[in-house]
Amino acid sequence: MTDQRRLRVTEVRSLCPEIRQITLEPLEGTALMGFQPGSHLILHAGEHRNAYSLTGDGIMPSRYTVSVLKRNDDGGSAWLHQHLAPGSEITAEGPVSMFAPVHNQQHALLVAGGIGITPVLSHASALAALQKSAEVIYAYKPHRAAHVDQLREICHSAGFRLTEVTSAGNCRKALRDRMSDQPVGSHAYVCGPMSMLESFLEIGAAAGWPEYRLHLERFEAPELDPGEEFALRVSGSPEDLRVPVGVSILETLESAGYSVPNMCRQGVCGQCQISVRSAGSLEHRDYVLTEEEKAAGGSLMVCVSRGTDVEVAL
Amino acid sequence: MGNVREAVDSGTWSLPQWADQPPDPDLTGASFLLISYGDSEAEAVVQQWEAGLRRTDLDPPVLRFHASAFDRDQLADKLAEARCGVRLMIAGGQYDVLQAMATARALGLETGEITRYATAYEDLPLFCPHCQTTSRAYAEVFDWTDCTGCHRVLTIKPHYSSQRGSFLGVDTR
Repeated sequence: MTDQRRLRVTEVRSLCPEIRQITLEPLEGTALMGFQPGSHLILHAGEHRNAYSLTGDGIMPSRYTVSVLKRNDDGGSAWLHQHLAPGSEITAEGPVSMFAPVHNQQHALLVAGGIGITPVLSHASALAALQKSAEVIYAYKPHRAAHVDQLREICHSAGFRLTEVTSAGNCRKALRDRMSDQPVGSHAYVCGPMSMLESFLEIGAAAGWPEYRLHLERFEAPELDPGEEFALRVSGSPEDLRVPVGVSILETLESAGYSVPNMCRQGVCGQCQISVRSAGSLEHRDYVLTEEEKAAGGSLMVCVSRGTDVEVAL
Repeated sequence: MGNVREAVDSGTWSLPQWADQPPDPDLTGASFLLISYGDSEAEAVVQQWEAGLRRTDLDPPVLRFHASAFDRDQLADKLAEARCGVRLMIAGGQYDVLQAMATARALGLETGEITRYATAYEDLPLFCPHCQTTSRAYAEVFDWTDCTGCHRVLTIKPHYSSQRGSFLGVDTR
C-alpha cells in the first residue's frame, strides 16, 4: 500500500454534466511526486476509496488533476462531487502506476472511450512534452466530450493525429482503419467500456498485433461465476479455512480476522496480490497478472481468483 | 583449440540458437516481410516461405526481397514502409541474419515477430570493444581473427549479444 497524505483542493471545475475536474495541490512545505503517464491516485471519498487517473504528464507536477464522473448517488464519486470545494482537504494515496507506457515504444496508438480519456490524456501529454509521436482515437457521446479541447490542442503537435468518433459502429471502423496503419514498433493503449476493450483486442489481433503490444486499463470487470468450495491455509497458522461457493478468498480472510490491502475487489487494481506458498491448482481470474505470471503461480489476486488446496503467505 | 574450449564452462556461454529446418511462418501476422541474403539457397528458403503463406486461407500481403548482403539503411527503409502487425522472416548466412535481426529489434520489432534461418555458418558478426567496430569475421568461436577497425588480434568469446547482433571479441595478447 502507498503512503497516505493530505492534499488541498484548489479548483473544482465542471467539464460537462456529471464530470468534474478536481485540482489538488500539496499542503504548504511539501512536494508532489512525479508519476508515470497513466498512473492513478486513490482518493478517500467518505467511506469509499476510489482510484482516479491523473490527467497530467507526470513530469515534475506542481498539482494533480483528476476528472471524476458521477456514477450513482451514494458512491465515492457522488461524495467527491458533493463535498469537495476549493480549500477542502482530502486524503490521497499514490500515485500508483498500472498503465505505464512501454519504455522502448517507437510510437503509441491511444484509444479512449468516454471517461477513459483521463489516462489517455496523460499519455498524450507526456508524449507531446517529449516530442514523441502518437495517434489518438477518442470515442464520446456528444454531450459528454470531457477534455476534447485539450486533446485537440495536444494533437496539433507534430507527429500526432486525432480521430474523434461518436458511435460504437464508427469506433470499430476507426479501430479497424487505424490499427492496420501504425508504424512498426508501436504499442497500443485503451481505456474505455468493456465492449470497446473487446473490440480493441479482437481488431488488434486481426491486424497482427502481438498481445504484448496491446495494453488495457479496465475500470469495470465482468460478472464471475461463483466457483466451487475449496480449502485455504495461511502460512504459519494451524487453522484450515474453507472458501465457500460465491465467496472470495479475500472475504474469507477478512472474516477470519486477517487484514489484506485491497481496493477494487474485481481483479483490476492489483492491490490484493498475495504470495502463494503452494496450491493443488490455481484459477486466475484477474486482469493484473501477465500470462507468464499466472503460469508461474507465485501469487494471486485474492479478490477474484480461486483454486484448490491453496496456501498463502500474508 | 580444444583445450581452450574445455577450459571455459559451457554453462556461461551465450550462443544464438538455430533451427535445423526453416521454421514455419507465424500466421498471427497480418503481413510479411521476407528477406534473403547471399546465395540462392537462402532465396529458395524465402520462396518456400512465400509459397506456404500463399497457400493459406489468409493470403496475407507479402513483400519479398533479396540482397547480396545485409545493409542497415535498406532494411530500415523496408521496415518504415511496413506496418505494426508485420512479421519479418530472414534467411541467409549467419552474419547477415544476426545483423538484420539486431537492426529490426532496434527499430521496434520484438524477437516474437521475427523468424530467422541460417543457411551457412562460415561468417559471424564480431564486435570489438576496443574500437567499437563490428566486423564480418570468417571464423568460429574461440578462433583468433583480426579486427577490421583497429587491427588488433581478437579472440572470439562464446558470448553473443542479441541486442548488438554480434559476438564479443577480446584482445588477450
